Amino acid sequence: MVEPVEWRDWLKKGKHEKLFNALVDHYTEPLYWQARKLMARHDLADDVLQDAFISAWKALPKFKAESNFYTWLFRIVCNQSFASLKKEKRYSEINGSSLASLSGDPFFDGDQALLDLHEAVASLPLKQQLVFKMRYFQNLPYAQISELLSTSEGALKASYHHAKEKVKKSFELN
Amino acid sequence: MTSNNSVMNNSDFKVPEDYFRQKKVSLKQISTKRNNVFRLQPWGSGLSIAASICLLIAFSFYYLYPQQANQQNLKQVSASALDEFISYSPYSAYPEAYLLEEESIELEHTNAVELFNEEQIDSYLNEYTNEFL
Repeated sequence: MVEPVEWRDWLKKGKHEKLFNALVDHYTEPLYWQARKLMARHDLADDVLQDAFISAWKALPKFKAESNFYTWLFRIVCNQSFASLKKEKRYSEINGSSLASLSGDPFFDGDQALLDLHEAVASLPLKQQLVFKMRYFQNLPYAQISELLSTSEGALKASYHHAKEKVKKSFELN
Repeated sequence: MTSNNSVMNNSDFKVPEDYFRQKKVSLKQISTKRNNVFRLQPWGSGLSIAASICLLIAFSFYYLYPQQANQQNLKQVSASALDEFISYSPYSAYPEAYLLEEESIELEHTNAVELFNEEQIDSYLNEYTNEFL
């Protein structure tokens, strides 16, 4: 994805508001779908997107533009999703029920098999859950996941393998 | 189950009608709202300076004003009033003390009660105990 050259000029000249609005126009939709693939539910993806853009706005003056803007924003969305999943995991451990259950989402239109798959993935440990979602739902290469999660590719492959086995097992049990 | 054959596609996941247009509008408000917050920062420091100045003024009044008031009061008092104040006898306020003064008694060396006759004691008691009955 080639980004307009003037974006970097705006960043250098401190035209942050103009740049931010351009980023919102270009990347709201693709970033939403990335968040949706990680969070599954619309309301949670919406929250993640909102928080991600707030973080991006705060960090924009410090952004050195070593990567392109989309990669930077995508990393922020991943971090926000990770934080949100962590919070949700803690909530479900305390209360025994999940806020992120896809069955309660009015904007989910998939079949029962897809619903079961998401429920099985949601029961995985947090890191495995993220790796599985990024690899299986988002088709991201291991190199990119490694960069996003600051984990070696070998560890990611092992993590994905374990996650896949657990999901298979849960399907066999059901 | 392979990673290349993703089961998740956007057709299974819907969004509310007109969601992205509305979302873009609300996200763009983040930058304008944040600007307002930044503009408030100088106000914060300005307010603290103003508060410090107010405190300084209040303390200076607290320390300076009472001295000025005393000096002014002394100037306003007339010489005759001062004379009257100095010559004021506390014994007029305490008759029992006045009695003792008349007899010129040094109470340290004598039993004071023995020096009064019964009439004096009765009149004193009749006069001053009635106030409390």
